[in-house]
Amino acid sequence: MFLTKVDAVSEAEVLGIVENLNTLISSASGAISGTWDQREPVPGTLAEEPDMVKIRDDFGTAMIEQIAARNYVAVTLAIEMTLVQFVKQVTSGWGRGDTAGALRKIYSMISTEGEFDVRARQ
Amino acid sequence: MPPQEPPRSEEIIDNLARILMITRSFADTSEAMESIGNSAGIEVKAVIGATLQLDDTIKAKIASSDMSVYVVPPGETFIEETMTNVFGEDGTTERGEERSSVAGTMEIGLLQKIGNVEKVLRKPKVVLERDLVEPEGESER
Repeated sequence: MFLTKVDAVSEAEVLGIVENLNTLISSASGAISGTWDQREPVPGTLAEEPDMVKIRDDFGTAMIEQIAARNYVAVTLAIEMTLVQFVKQVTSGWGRGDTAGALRKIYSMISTEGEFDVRARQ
Repeated sequence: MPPQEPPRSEEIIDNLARILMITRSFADTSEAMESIGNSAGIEVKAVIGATLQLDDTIKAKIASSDMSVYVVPPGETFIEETMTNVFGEDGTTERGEERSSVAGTMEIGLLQKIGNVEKVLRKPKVVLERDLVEPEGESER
């Protein structure tokens, strides 16, 4: 009789991954916010209209106003929301091959070590 | 609705950079993207890795029920039974008559589906629009 190994997953396991992901998102947001917070406004540079339009689709007017006012909490919230939305997009809308390909490219952009090997997950 | 095709490869970093551009902290988007890579490259890598793990787990492995990520889109009405206000209140107005709108989701939740029945295994943490408006004189830290 031929037996196939099956990777069964429990609700607790998935919950654990989600909890870890939330922690990682908070950590990423904190790292980005910490650096941003030390920067003075660039003289003569205003928030660009195209950026405003794109961000407005994601956050709404109240959030935009708080970010433009350099409200540290609002900036941190916006970064976390963006990362959460990214996770939502990856886990809900794409085919697996597309997901791996897109992530590989994203990863290579921020990596100093070169290509991110996701073949094992395809 | 989620996108039916993969976003542009640089979307996540680009979107983060645009937030920082609104603060007028960088002269251009490429500088903001470089800053994000330097300050949080490792952390963003970790988020991507964990996202792959979650995607792999809920799509490829066998579970006793269907599970999916639960993220509340901006503009939805706050519902205490299925969401948590990150600032700890119940989402009603000062007069307690109306529910507030969600500005965005801060922490991912998890939905379980058995047949046609959905159950929230983990409530997402959300920020309410009303909490983004600070009282007079407190807009600067």
